[in-house]
Amino acid sequence: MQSYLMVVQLLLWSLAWPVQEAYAYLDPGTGSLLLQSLFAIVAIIGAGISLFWERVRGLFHKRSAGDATPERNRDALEES
Amino acid sequence: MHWKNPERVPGSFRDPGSHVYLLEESVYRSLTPTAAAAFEAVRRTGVLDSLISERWIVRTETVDPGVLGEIGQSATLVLQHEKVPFLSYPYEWSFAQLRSAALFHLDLHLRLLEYGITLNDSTAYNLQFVGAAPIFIDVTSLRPYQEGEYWQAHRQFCEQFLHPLLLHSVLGIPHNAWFRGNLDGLPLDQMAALSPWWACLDWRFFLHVVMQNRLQQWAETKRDTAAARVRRHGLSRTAFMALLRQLRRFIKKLAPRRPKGSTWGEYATHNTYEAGESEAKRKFVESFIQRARPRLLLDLGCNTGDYSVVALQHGADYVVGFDADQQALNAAFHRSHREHLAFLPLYQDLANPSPDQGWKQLERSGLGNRARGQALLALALVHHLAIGRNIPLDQVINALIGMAPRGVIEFVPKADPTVQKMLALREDIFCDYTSDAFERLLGSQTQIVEKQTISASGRTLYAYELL
Repeated sequence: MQSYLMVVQLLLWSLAWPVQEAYAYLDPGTGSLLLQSLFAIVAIIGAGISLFWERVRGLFHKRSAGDATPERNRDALEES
Repeated sequence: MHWKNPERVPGSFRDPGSHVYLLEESVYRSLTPTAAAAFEAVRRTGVLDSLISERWIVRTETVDPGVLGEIGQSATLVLQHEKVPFLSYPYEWSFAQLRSAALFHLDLHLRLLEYGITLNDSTAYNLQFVGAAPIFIDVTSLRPYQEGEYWQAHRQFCEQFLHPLLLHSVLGIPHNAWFRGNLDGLPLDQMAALSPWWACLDWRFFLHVVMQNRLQQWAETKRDTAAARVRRHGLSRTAFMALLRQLRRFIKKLAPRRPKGSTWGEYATHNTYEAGESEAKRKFVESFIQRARPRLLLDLGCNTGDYSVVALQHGADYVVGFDADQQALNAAFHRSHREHLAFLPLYQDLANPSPDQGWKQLERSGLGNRARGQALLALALVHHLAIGRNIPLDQVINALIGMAPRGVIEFVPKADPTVQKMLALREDIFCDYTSDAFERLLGSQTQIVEKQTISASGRTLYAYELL
């Protein structure tokens, strides 16, 4: 539960964060940048839904230890 | 100390921060003050050394700027890089290779972000293969990450990795010809125009292709509003990494769309190229390789890599294989990856090889400039060029022997069932295509050091050495 709260917090923070002008020789494409700003919003909504879903699940059964596997580790498991 | 004049690599101009030079078989890079400061900042994190020692990035060390003569005097920093055994381009990679490169690029970026480093660009040309292992070659693409910045190279990643993979995965069209035609990959608007409605049911496809294109079109009509919206918000590192991971999961599941009834796994057992005479051919190749012991062997028409493996087992250091069959190439790449072979299979239509192209027609080097081996194998290939593509036999021989000073060439006569099949529905206009003519033409320019007929139909192997 704590990790979801952290995700929401970080993503909300990201929306408030001013954009940085990075050194780049590449034209990034405005569509791509707009998409990324939308992605941040979608990620917040997704994190919110996950948070809500976790709460609903929590009402019916106790959370098992396996559910807490970090995303990075799940990626590694997926590879194997 | 005397140094020859360094030769600037013609394709090294897009990033004004650094330029690449070739000097006596070594690769050097000169850095401007801005690029040098970024490089030093990256190096201080320790991630560069780790990635070099783990073979994610080519070996790189700072050297005396004097090595580049006058050019070195004006550079803030000069680096020397390891040279990869064979330079290849994304339009020469199979689907499996491009996907492997895309996943590697995302993994590299994720690792860098953990150290507060990001990548300036997402060009596929910054990746090379050593065997089946991708390796990153442009250290000046690395720079310190600034909190809140967008992924500047997201669109470039889509156009050079994601869209070409989707072209094959969704529509069943290999990316090679498209990518070769447009060196920057498959543009966003074209990918969106090609997208079938059912592909948009996948929300990730919808997001990175359809949505991105719609936003781009909207931004072009409302430039000021779009720019203001972009500037209003940033992207946190967490969201940045989530985007990279989401793309990684999407790409990892992509597979080439194939005709019904065919699979990669079955391909090697179902091919009918040279089943009966493979043992005799294997022994001939073994004996040739043991004599030649080439550092770089070219296997023209490598198929799934059977004879490339034989060559590696008997003294070849590194094999670059070429074939135009996508399924064979995917199987060859998986084999090289699985068995950790020094074998790089590449897509190539030898009747229409990669040309010199790009800016001033020098940016990307043609196959003729790169494919110079110490030896070659051209097994079951000549008839595909001479009969399949109507290339005169003498020109086929000249082209082959121009690629390596020694090699093995197989001649498949008209009596062979494979050639019979090729001629079944067309007029036989190939009166000069005979074993005698082949031997005479090859013998006039090379010394035929060994010859063996390996089938009842008259298939013959010739080992040649240039006179």
